[in-house]
Amino acid sequence: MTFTQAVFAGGFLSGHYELLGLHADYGRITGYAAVAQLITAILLWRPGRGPGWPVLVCTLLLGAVGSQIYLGFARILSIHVPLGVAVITGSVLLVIWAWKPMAPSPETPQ
Amino acid sequence: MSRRVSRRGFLAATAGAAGVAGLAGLGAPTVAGLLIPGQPGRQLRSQLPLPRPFQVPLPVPPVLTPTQSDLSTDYYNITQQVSDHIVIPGMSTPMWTYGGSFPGPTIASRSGRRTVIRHRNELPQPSVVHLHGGHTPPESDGYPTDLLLPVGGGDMPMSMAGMPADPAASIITGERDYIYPLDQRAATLWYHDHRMGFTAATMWRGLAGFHLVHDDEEAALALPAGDRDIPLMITDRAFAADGALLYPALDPTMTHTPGVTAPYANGVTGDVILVNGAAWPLLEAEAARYRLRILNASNSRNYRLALHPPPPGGGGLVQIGSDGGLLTAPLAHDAIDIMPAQRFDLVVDFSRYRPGTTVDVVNLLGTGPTTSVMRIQIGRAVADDSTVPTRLSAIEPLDPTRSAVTRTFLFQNIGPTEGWAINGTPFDPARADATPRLGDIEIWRFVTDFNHPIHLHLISFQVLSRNSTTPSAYDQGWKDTVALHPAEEVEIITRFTGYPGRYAFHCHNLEHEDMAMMANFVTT
Repeated sequence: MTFTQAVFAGGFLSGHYELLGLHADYGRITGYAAVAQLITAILLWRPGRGPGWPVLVCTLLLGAVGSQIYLGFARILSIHVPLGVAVITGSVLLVIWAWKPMAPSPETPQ
Repeated sequence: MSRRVSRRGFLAATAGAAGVAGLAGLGAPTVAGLLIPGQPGRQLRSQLPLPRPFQVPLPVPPVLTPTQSDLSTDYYNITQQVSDHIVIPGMSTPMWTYGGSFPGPTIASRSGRRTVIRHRNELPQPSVVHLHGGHTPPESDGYPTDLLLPVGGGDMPMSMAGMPADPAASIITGERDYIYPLDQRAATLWYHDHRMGFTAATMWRGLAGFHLVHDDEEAALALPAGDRDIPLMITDRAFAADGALLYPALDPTMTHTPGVTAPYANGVTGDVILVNGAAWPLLEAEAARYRLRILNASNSRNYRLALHPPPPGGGGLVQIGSDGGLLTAPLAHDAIDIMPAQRFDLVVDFSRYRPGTTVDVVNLLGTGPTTSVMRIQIGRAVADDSTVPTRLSAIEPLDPTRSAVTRTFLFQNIGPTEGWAINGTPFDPARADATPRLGDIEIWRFVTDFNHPIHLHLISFQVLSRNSTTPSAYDQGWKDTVALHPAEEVEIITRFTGYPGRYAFHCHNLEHEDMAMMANFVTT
């Protein structure tokens, strides 16, 4: 999803005007998704008895996405672009972790 | 609750939202469309069957006769008026015109000989006349707030919504003398409306014409002349069912609120291509050299013009001049990239084709009807004593090491309602964004987000670099409007000469210009 933002950004930098508006709309949606992701991470931790560190990571990501929305509208692109790359990197690492096969935990029948 | 399910749930919560939004997002350009550069503007669709192409002979605007001439000066009168113009067969299109025609009458001046044009405003709205490419004192340059109110005055609001007032404005009612010293090289200039906040709408309605400057250097070259020296004003328009022009103005009365509806914020384009006011016209040419002075007077459309078929051996479009007059040497192109307000002075040798050949001028950036521009039907071979010499003129390359100052201007969209800005701020007549000293050489750097043709009043300039490398084949010679494509940077170099005062520089995508992508330089 965050990668799509890079596609839109590249698109409007090639002159596709509509994609700037889409990039802005999608930024807001990414913000909602980051909130949903944080809630999921909290539920995974308690009551899910999962690890607590995704809560921290998702909080950082939510902060980064929120900053991205502000930086983008303020056209502070010298921070917006590298932070965008960082958000994508963080999201990708999180997805890799979420899909990584794990040893079954003792209390679940696997 | 298993950890695996939770992790999958975690993925579903994020990726699911992404998928839905992603599909919704892929509306505008297709994925394949992203691979080609985006073009400015959104196209209006005419509400009637488009006229058949190549049915109408190419009109050539008549050269206006002076009402009076003396030892130093030629005097002209032009009345700005609403008049009916026929583009769609059997229908009339009400337009705003200079002297009743679109394009307006051509003014032909001699370099160094003063031209005085008395404009009389019989339109329903104020106007401002700018001579584009003119080396003109500030009083006659057509600053956007130096209004010429209609005859009888009317009750025009002096400050308009969202626009700063300008206490320095010179406002005159009825008639105004625009005085042009024309102390400059031979070049293809043009004149057009420049009223603050409404230039896009008034030019769309037809306020544009050619102003040619001739000089001895050009006359000595034996370039194609007379009937074989043709100015071509290329514009695009769209028409309502009754033949009237369509335009998505926020305020159709053009009195209080500038700008266009949101989907057209990046520019308005039409589905009918007009050359000298006629839709897809036909030029019956002899098999000889023709000088074609091409002007893109469209509000926002970019063109890539080419001959189809090209002449044997290619290089059919031989550029001899740019915005600011002759190049040093002719430059053969297969295609010309031309942004709004730019001029390419070309010589095309139709004797390279067999008599009887049909040659189309095509627009390689167009789609559907806008891929076609006009047709040339090549007639018999004739005697032709014109030439294109290998040396045309001398241009002193300006030395960047002698530049007094380097200024940087960022041309950028700052939001759907805020519009377009230079260095983050919209146009304010009271602000001096640069204060060059007359006589100084300066380097100006332009950086862009979308397509922006950047125009400086008063002076011509040379393109020094494009994206940190050499200028393009379309940047040659003296320019007054430089093409910036999305996410580009261009350096220009110029020497400020002439007259002290306040001048505008701006994006010449007219919808960008009206939504405030304009700034001032004040020469001292």
